Amino acid sequence: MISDKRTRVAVTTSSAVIVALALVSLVLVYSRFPSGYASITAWWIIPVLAFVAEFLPVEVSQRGVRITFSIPFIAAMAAAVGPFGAVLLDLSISLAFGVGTQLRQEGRSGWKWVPVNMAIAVICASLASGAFRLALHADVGAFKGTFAGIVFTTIYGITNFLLVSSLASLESRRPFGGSVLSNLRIGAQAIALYSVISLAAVVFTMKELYVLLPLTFVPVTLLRSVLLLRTQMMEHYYETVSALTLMLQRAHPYTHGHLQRVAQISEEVALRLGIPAPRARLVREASVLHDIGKIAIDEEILDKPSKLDEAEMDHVRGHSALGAQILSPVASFSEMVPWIRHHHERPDGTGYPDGLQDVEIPLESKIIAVVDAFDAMTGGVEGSDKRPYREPMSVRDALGELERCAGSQFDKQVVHAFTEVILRGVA
Amino acid sequence: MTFDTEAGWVLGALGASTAAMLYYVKLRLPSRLDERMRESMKAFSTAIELRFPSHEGMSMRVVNLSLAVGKKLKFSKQQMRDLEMAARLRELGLCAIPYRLINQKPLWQWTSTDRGTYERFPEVSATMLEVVPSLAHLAPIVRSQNASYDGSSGPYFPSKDSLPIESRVLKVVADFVLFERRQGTLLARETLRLESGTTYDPEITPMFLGLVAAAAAEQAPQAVAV
Repeated sequence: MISDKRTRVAVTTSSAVIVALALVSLVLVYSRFPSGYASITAWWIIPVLAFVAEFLPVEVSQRGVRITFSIPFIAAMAAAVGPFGAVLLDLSISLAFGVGTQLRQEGRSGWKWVPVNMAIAVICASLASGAFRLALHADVGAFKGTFAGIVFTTIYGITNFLLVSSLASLESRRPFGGSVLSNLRIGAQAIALYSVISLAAVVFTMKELYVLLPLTFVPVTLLRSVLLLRTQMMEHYYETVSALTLMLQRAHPYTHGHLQRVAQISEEVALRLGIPAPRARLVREASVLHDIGKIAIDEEILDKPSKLDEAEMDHVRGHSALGAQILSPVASFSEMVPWIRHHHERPDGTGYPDGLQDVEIPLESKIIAVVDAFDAMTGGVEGSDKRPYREPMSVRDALGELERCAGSQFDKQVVHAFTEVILRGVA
Repeated sequence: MTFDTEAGWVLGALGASTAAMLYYVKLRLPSRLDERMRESMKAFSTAIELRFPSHEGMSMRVVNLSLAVGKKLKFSKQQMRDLEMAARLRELGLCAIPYRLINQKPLWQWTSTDRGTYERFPEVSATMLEVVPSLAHLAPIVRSQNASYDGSSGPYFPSKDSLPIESRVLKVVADFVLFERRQGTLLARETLRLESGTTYDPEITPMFLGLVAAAAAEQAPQAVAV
């Protein structure tokens, strides 16, 4: 079993390069080198448009997923010249862009991805071109070019998408399904719009309407703007989370390490409980924000080393409802607001702020409750974040305490999943 | 070269997609982004108002009055946006001010240390904004929000026309709102009038006082003829 990340990535990239080389060989053997005036026109106008489009990328996620806009022109090349032309064009673009990007960046860590991206390009262009040629024989009447263009884009998009998601999954050790689903939100709309642009490029090329090809750049630049704006919205979401967390840390410095640990472990526990990866990611973000209500709590009470009186306890207990109040104006947080409000509820109904019964408490709140309590008991790594009012417990004692309170203060199933996560050293 | 039915349909589909994306890019997405920004700003100001209930409603009043001044000064769209965001986010740094200082200690009991602690909040706000890439450009505005026009705040602040104009607007508006809450509208207006040219920008202050007076006149109850 491959456990070392570097070995995993090296094996994957080598495999990709070998497959790509095999496909290039097949394409060279079975494709004809083109000739003729029309092909000469195609040989310069399409690559120029493709290269320009490739140098307008959009970064659509914090994990470095990048969308480029050359697919329609690679499809056009497949229509004008055949698989040989499409593969050669895609390979050249990947090489030029990869080398250009690495030369602009400092450090050498990105160079290993240049052959990988070239391999991915070859695999996608080969498979899509092959499917395109088969689609040309389909009986679709007058819309042969349209059908073939859609087939090319679909095959290219799906192949590219699956290869990139697999690599991302291997690198980040996240489940493949989760990686695909999260990337699907980013890529699916782009693929849908691409289809229209691609089939236009294919049809114009097949009908030798090269003068109309540059028109496709208008929707390409608009599609780019759409993706840039959507990326801005996503970045804004993460920046809001960061800024709110920063506010909390300014008000209560002890929370710094606590929030990061609770967030990471909560996501792992959520995945172990079968919560889908995108929702588990949301649980992670909710965990970062679960104590946001403490901004409105007197820090002298929170940091008091001795036992709190009833009025002080009531003041502190207000933080979960206050946290929900702070986050409720933000539509993007709407799903996690109840999780944060109820993260101090108990299955036996004696929790706060609403005294919910077991079945009424969101599972996500129960996860945050367990992880939060464990981190509070153990005080983080080597007790570095210990609470002012008690000495930290050992991991064994804290797990014992969770087990003792399972069913009353904590959900049994969540405690069980959490214990597995801790004992397997995932956290 | 063949421009047939298929080419016609495809060109039509391309045109329709382009029109749809144009609508999205020019109207729908920018307004959604603005909406998201405003929601986030609301979360930040709610957090401060929950920490310090005496500040409740002040943030919105500062925002509304600042925008009125910005409109009067014929700010560009970007300037209005920056002014609004700075007005909403200027008090972020209050989260670092001790809870009891504002909530429990009366103003007349504040020592010079307490005052110094409180007056740190613009710097703390600016430092926090610098960490957030999309908000970092607001840091200079927020940092200078309490700086005196004549440079008497100290050597580390710009003065007069070197102060960002948004900061000069915020200084006038925010101080007015604070004095209004503590001392009433008449005294607040009087303080601004007396310190125009020293603490406050001499062009913005009379313009602002005119706006406030006009708004007050509109709201004044009609005299009833007996």
